[in-house]
Amino acid sequence: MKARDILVGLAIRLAFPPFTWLFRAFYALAIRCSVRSVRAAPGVAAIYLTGSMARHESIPGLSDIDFKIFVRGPRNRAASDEIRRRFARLRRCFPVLGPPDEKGIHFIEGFAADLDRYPLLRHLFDPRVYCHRLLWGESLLERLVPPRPEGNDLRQTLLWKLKDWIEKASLLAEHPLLAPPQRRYLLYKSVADAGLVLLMADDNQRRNQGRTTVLQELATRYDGGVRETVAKLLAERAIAFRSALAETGEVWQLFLRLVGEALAALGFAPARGSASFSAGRIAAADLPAWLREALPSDAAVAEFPWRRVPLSPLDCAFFGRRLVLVTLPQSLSLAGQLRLRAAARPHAEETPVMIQESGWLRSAWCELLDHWLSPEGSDDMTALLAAGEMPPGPLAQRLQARLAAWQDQLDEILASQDLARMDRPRYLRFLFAAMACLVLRRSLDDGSFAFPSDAYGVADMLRRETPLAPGFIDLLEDEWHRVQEERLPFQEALFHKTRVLLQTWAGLIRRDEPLDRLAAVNGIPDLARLSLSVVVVTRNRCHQLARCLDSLARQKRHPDELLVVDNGSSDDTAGTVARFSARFPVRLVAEPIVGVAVARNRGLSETRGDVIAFIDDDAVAEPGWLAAIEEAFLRDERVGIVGGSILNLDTGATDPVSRFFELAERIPA
Amino acid sequence: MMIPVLTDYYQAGYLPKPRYGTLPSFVPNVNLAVRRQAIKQIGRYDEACWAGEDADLCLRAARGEWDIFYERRAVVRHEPKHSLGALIRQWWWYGSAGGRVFEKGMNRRCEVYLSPDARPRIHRYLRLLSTNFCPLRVLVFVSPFLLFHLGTLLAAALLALGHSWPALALALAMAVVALILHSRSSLRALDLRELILYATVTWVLNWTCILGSIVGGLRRRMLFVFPGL
Repeated sequence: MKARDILVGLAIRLAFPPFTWLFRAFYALAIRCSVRSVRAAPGVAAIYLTGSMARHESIPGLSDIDFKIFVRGPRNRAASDEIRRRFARLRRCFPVLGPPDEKGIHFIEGFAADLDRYPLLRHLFDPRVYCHRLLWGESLLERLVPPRPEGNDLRQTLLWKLKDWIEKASLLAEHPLLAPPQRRYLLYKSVADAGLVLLMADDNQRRNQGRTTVLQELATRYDGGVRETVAKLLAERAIAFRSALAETGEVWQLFLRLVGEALAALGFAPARGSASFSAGRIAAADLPAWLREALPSDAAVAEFPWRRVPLSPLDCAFFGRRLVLVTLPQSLSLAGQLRLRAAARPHAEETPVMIQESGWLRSAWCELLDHWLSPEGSDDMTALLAAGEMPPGPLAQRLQARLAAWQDQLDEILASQDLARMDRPRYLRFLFAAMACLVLRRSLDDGSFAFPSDAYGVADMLRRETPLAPGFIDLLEDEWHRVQEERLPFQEALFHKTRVLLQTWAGLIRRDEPLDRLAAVNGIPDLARLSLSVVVVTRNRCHQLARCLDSLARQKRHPDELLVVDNGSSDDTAGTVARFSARFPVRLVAEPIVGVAVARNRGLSETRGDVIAFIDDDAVAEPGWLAAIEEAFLRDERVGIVGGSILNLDTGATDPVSRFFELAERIPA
Repeated sequence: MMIPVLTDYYQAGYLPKPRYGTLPSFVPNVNLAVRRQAIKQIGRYDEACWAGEDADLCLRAARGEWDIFYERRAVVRHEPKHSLGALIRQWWWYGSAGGRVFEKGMNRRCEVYLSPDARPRIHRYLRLLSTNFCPLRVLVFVSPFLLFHLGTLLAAALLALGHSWPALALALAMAVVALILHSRSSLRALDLRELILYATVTWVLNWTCILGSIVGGLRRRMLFVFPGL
């Protein structure tokens, strides 16, 4: 059980005076400590408290503490990472702090431009919706934030808010990771915010006085079932979501209704989009009957096979592997999407459905690429959740800007030469993202924007348009499949070739080099090999030596050279080696000066391999031993020494010392 | 502690680079592979090292520009010693001959390492003290094992001096600490007989290695206290 769950449970059961004071004090302490810690981060100019805490309607245990932090200067990853690190540290003591990635970290320089471009950002600073309380620093909001959005702008921002809540509510309302009170609180928030959008669409001068007020107002506007549900929700709020008064289904229906009405009030007309995908289509007949009924008659459905779907880790975590992804080439109106979602909800258990318009799919691909290319590869789910937004503006411009940013990142990663240290699945994603860069560059030059929807599409395009050997691309595609689906480790042998590919690639993307340069990559053999010499130093242990040599002959990857250094033995060592040499080529040298270091040095000077692997004469190597060592050396040129696991050889002895070694192996580390 | 009985305790990955002047983690000789290029640069095994030549090689590699990689999948099964006598001889050897590596690798006169957990993770040492005041070179590894024995010694001394109540309190406190440490450690996986066997052998090996290291260190005119496991 996590600290957060314990706190939630405690807080909602103890929501009466002496304890509420205690919790309030805890929240106040959390805020104080965060401010003290964050303001010491370099460049922080102002810290604002926002969300329900700023509106004084927090619920102990359920509300998060959300901040908006302004940092001086232009966008700067190091600064935001520093702040996140501080928050991550604080969260160990104060689980009530919102996740560090949701912290709004804004950079003063360029803030105005961002605000201009992103409706969601404008919305986040709309004083009618969000309260802000200055906790520390200079008062920047008055200076930075222009007058509140009006007219069409307001419609856009409210629409973003609705989309946000639809996503959150449909993803999280039944998520098993959340405690039941947290789920109820989430539904309550989504209903209240959908209601708020509806009220704001009617009266755009209205101030947000908190969710309770919104619900009270809603209760006066409706009668019958809606009023009852709203009353139940308010009652639940009054008892701090300790027990369920309103049914989930009922609340969800209310939410859908409010969203529908809000959409109607905003007068939102669906945008028409068009796109074509190279991925395989599945006939609508394969769809479940209920889904076919729920789809509008004119909707053309493209269902992508699972492995072609560019799902983020977040999606995978929520949907598992049995997902049906319905992609509508025609973009469906939000109301239509909602109808679909409502139809899919009862079937969510057996067939989870994810509905995406093609435009969203494309933007998801872009975001995913962005995510792959970020050097830190932030695997946080919340970051991905927040990344669902595409900046408005002409597509080409946006993509150009994106491409430029990618190129910088690509160059940076290539220059840092830390490719070898990337973990392999991430390296592969990075490789495909780099390829997508080139594909994108070419499609932008053509003005076609026909870029592929996933890594397989990228591979198709490479096969068609580059001089890379098809076999190599197949290999890459298979590797991608293996690593993604079966979670197998990446083939180290492939790494050598792909690294050269990447270097060429960076030049291609910058247009420094012609495309035919790629053909050179075909000449590099897939499997780079090092020559491996194995040295066994032995002294008077001919029986164990036979066992050791036997295990070396049964290696999956054979040693290129096998040397036994006889360090002054007086037993049948020479005979053992001679008998063994019939099976496997082995050389014996005698080193009369006794000493491990001397004998090993003799082994070093007698062998010629790039890598010298030592093994003791009384040890036995497992069949994968040499292969693992070779992979480890291949992955990074800077690795000088590789060591491996040393486990206990079970000889069947039952004396106390053997028992002791068995026990030592059994104790978990 | 210097020569782990079994080294399956690490996660696969790069071993941490040592800060200058401290001792790094290393991979034991039983299962060690080295790149020829690295050997050319850092030199071969030190033939003056009678034990711990692997630690010495790793130390030189890590202080140079080379990295040490621990590959979990490269598995070697090592035959354990079959008699307690052989095991004791082995650990006496490690203790008495290991001082040479530390003498070479250490650039201060006095160094004390604290190992907060009992597992053989050499890279977890926290350096406590590094000064220049000692006439004798000193290198001490402080482990829970040594601390516990220091406590016992103190309790016995108190009892001998006639302070029976403080001695009793100290002994009780140590028993409680031992219980807590045991309940938190992975030794819980063993039943009582296994625990007694394990603890006894470990105890013997620890003292063997400590005494061996003190004797071996004094021969080099340094105080070198090195607990075994």
